[in-house]
Amino acid sequence: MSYRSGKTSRKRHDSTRQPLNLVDFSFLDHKSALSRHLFTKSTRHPVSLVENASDFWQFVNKYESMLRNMGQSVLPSLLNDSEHKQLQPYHKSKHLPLQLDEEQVKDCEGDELQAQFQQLVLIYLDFKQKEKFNRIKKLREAQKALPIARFKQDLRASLEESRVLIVAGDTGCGKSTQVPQYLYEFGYRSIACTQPRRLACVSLSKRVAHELLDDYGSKVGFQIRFERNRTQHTHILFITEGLLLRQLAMAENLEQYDVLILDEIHERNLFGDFLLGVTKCLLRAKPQLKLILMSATINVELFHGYFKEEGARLLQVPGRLFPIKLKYMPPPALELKAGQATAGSKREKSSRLDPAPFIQVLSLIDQQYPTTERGDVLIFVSGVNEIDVVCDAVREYAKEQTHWLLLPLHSGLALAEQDKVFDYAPDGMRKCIVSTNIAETSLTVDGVRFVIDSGKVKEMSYDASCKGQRLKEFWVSKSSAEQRKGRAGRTGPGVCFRLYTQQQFDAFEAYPLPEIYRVPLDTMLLQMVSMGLPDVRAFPFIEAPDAERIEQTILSLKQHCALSVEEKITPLGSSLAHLPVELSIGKMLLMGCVFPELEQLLTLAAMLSVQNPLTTRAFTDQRCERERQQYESDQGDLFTLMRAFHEWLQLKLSRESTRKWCQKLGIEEQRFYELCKLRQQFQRILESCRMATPKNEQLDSKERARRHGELRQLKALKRRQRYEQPRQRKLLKRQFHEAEQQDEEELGEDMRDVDFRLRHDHRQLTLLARSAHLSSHRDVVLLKLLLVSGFYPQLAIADEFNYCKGASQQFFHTQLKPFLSLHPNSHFAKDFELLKLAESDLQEKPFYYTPKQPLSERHQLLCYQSLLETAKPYLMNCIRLPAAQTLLLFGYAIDTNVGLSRIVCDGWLGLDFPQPGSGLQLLSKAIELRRRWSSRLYDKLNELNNSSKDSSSVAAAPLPVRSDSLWSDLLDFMSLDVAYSIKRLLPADQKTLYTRSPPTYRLASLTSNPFAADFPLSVNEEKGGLNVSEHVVYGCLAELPWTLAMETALQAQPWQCPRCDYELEQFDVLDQLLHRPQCKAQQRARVSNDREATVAPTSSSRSGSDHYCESCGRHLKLSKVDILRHRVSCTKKK
Amino acid sequence: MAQDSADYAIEDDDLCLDNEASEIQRLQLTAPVEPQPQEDLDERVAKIEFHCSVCNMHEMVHYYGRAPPFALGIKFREDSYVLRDPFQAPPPRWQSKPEFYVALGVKCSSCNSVVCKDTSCSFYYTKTFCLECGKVELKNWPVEAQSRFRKQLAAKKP
Repeated sequence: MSYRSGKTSRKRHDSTRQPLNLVDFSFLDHKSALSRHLFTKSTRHPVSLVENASDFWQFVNKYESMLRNMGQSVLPSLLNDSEHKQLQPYHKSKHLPLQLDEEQVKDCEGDELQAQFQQLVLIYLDFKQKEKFNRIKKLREAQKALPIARFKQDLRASLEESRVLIVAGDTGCGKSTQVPQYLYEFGYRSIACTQPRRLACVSLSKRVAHELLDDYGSKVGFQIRFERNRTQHTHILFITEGLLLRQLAMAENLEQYDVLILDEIHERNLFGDFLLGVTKCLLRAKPQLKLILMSATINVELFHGYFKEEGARLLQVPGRLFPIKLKYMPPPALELKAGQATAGSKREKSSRLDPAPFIQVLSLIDQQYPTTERGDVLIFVSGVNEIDVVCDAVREYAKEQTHWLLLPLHSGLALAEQDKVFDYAPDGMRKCIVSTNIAETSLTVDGVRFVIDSGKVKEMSYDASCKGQRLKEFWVSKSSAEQRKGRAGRTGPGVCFRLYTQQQFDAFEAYPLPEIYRVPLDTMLLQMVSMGLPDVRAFPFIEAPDAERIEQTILSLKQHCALSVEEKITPLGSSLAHLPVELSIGKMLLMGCVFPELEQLLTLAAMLSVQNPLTTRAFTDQRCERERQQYESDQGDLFTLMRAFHEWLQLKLSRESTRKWCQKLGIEEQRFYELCKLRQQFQRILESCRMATPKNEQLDSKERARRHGELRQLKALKRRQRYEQPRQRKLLKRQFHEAEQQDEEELGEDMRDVDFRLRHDHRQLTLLARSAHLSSHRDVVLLKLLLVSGFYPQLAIADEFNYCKGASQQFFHTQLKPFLSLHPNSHFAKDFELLKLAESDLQEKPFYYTPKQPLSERHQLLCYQSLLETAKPYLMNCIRLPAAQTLLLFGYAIDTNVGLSRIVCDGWLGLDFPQPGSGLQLLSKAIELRRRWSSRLYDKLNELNNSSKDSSSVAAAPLPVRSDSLWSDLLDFMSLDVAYSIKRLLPADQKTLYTRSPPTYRLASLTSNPFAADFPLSVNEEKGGLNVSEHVVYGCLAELPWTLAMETALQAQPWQCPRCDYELEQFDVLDQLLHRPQCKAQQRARVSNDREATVAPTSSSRSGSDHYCESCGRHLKLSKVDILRHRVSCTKKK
Repeated sequence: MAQDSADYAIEDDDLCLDNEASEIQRLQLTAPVEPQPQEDLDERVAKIEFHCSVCNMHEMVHYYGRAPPFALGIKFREDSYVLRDPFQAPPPRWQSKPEFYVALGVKCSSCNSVVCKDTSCSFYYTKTFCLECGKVELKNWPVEAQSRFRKQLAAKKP
């Protein structure tokens, strides 16, 4: 009804209205009255016509003053519809292609002011239309201006002719953003583009979505380890190399993509190389698939040659770089060193980096380029320590030259800190970014005009001989040096200072060493086998690793039981290949699947798989050290982190802020979030292969209601954040260190926290917190056991002289590498006493035991996660374990003498058991437990395999976890008090270790296996003795003088079977073993073992009778045999 | 109840924003509405081709005509190629958003060829002319319009 009257009033207006004159009038004075016209007519839900009202009013202000200035302050009267269509007379509003929709806007009731105001709204909306149109147009023009754009048609033509296309172009040519879009335009609808780094996947997918004008849609998606936003409408997917590999490993995924783009293949990382080989095979299997390889113009011929038979086309795209002046400035070695010494060298190392040349260049820049000319400095050094050294010096220099803003950059920094390098420097100031090679390719910082290149890089290399990694400093390759130089010319002409000579540069390697030569191959080879490759040696590597290394890796996969003797994948192996973690951690998870409290293990394994949450600051800042103190565990750093993580979860549970807490401890909170996601991933994988049963903890109705409210809130927050603009580059503050705290406040809602809360309700959080809480010693020991089960044979033994040396002189030996140190940041390095035997731990030796090694029940070994050589070779992430128990449970090859007084594990650690019966006790228990554990695991794996072959009918039912005593028996075993000595065998010892002779008559009289009844005895041809279990050879070690002496001494002693009344006149181990299979009590015990397994300790029966020893005057509770034994030792002491 | 519990089964996918758009709608709507995803999707997909005959600007747009259903409070004076605003988050279903439209171009009123809104490609005075047609037509225009057109020609990008 109302708008009809509006129309009639509009017809009248021309004659009745007075024109408005802006000289004595402003719309702004009528703001409140007019504002209602910014809304639609609808009375119930009036909606604003403009996006941003304050922006509109600003426009009004500017527009008014513009009209006044132009002398057009009288607003011409408005036109009606038909007048709009007439060319004559001229009226400004005839340039407006828009009109207000009368049905929706409010009526002006013939009021000139209101009508003119509506006209103004229209002018504003038209202006905004032009703005938005120009934004799109500009975007398109920028795209067209990219070097790659000229090759679009070439690309199309090449793809029609060939299935493989190589696009080689330098940074900035636009290949990563444009090629996927071109393909989309050409009609491909399922495009996968790999990236080596997660961050690149996210940022590229955002960028490409933006260019496709689909920021809020899902045409473009990404998929990275912990996150994906792919939907069924996603046509372009950015995915990490590792994830694509895992996808391709599953046959059903093969049909998923019609074109694969492998980006950055020149980086030659492990997954990239692996993908090249896999896609080469894939091209044969899938005739429709197209493959595009993209690389920088580095070693392009290698790739071209590799895909020659597939008819690869090569497209070379020139980059877009501004000219860069190159200056070689090698430091004049000697005089500078002297100068530095006077400048005050705080640290002792002579090999320490000399920062003087860097400062010289800075001062050169200050002299030659006025600060009015913008341009930042990027310094490349080799590592974090070097960054610190240079930063110290620059800080000193910047005290006088205050226009320098110092920004360190390396991957160990908190992400927020890393982001700072993208911020702007204020006018007249320069950023000085001191970086590792992270800024060479991974991170692109615009605005850099000067590059100072030390020419050094620290690179991880893998030493197969000791299965350790080494972080060593090298000269960079020519191609890296060129990359570094190129960073100076991205936004304008630049200068590159090289702190080495042209001759040195000429001697550099052409390209960096591909990763495949620098890392362990086990995970990759296992994945190859699990993908169905019949022979990994035949894999079409672009550059194959050493055949020797492949063989070694296959051997170690066999040792881990991931591959069978015929190199077929085992059930364990195929489960391992599914887990996206290091082999050792995967094995740990699987071994733990038969463990009732899997929850804790999942948390622990996730902790081991994320980067260390403790930042460098955590160890350099006294405050962090102090704060961390309360969480320190004497079980090792891993357990300290678990405690910290538990505390973090507690804070989450009580809804407190964790961000500040992490800051206080020097923890990179992101790692904890990753940990939670990873843990969840583990859980899902184990559940999906039914190795674990899903926990169904339902919320009750009250909790659900609360959770519902919470979810609404969180989702609203998340939505707001999603539609917010990405982090904008900010202006750096002069003293940004003080501003830091403030920044934190400004950040507002912690989105990672919101994410986390979305994912975890109260129950789940409680569950998670419980899983991080290792309350009892029992928990700790069990987890340690599981850790070793994965990490074995990564063990180290303390040097025999550690007891008399200081902290810096504590050394450890592994089987393959002697003299290793503990990492100085580790707890054990500080509290090294924990690893030593205390005086009270030492035990008196029997007279016949002559070797000098100390006898104790408390010997320990270290189990380490990795071996890393930097300044020194370090053991990383150690835990400590009782030595003999660990070795006997996990050793690959355990050899004994006939009397079981000597046991050698894996040919390098010798255990001596001079107490009668102790060796037998420990070994037989170990064999029994080990076989129970592995049969449990294999039962489960086989059951799974069979049922998956059967059909899906049973697939849903999870396997029950048999609750029994295996775990408590293992715990009892680990804490058995047995005195022994331990020694690292030297090559000389190893020569005479074995008898290598066929079993003696007495040994041959063993007809049934006393250790494992169902394991058939066989003669070990190589070492001598008998194979008594999968890992144990009995009686192959040669006797030593002391073992013979012990035997003689024991001949005087009788022995009684602790389970039955069988007695021997002499304490003879072989006779004892002969008795075992006959012993009825033993048999009974074994039967009950399988049901409830309360195994009585083998020889030292605890239920003994009270006995009074006359010679020492003590009351003792001992069994018959022990009484005899006691009598012997007691009289000896006298 | 069943629907409720789906809400609590927060899986990874939930966070992966798979259903973010529909989730948002569900949360913002007061009354539950029968979902019609297919239909909803269709109006969001740009299916009309727009190709400027002068500068080759090439986009897919959502609408051709004078009154886009997604435009709030305005109409175009000519049939226009209109895009849903890519720079704003889409409004929930059956709700409108201010300025959620971008007109990219129209057909030239005299030669009927498609032109974009760029000042190098078209000129609007009572209707749109491509610059070539504008040169022919301008003799019929008032001088103010002529001078504005000439100014635009002079500023034309090379």
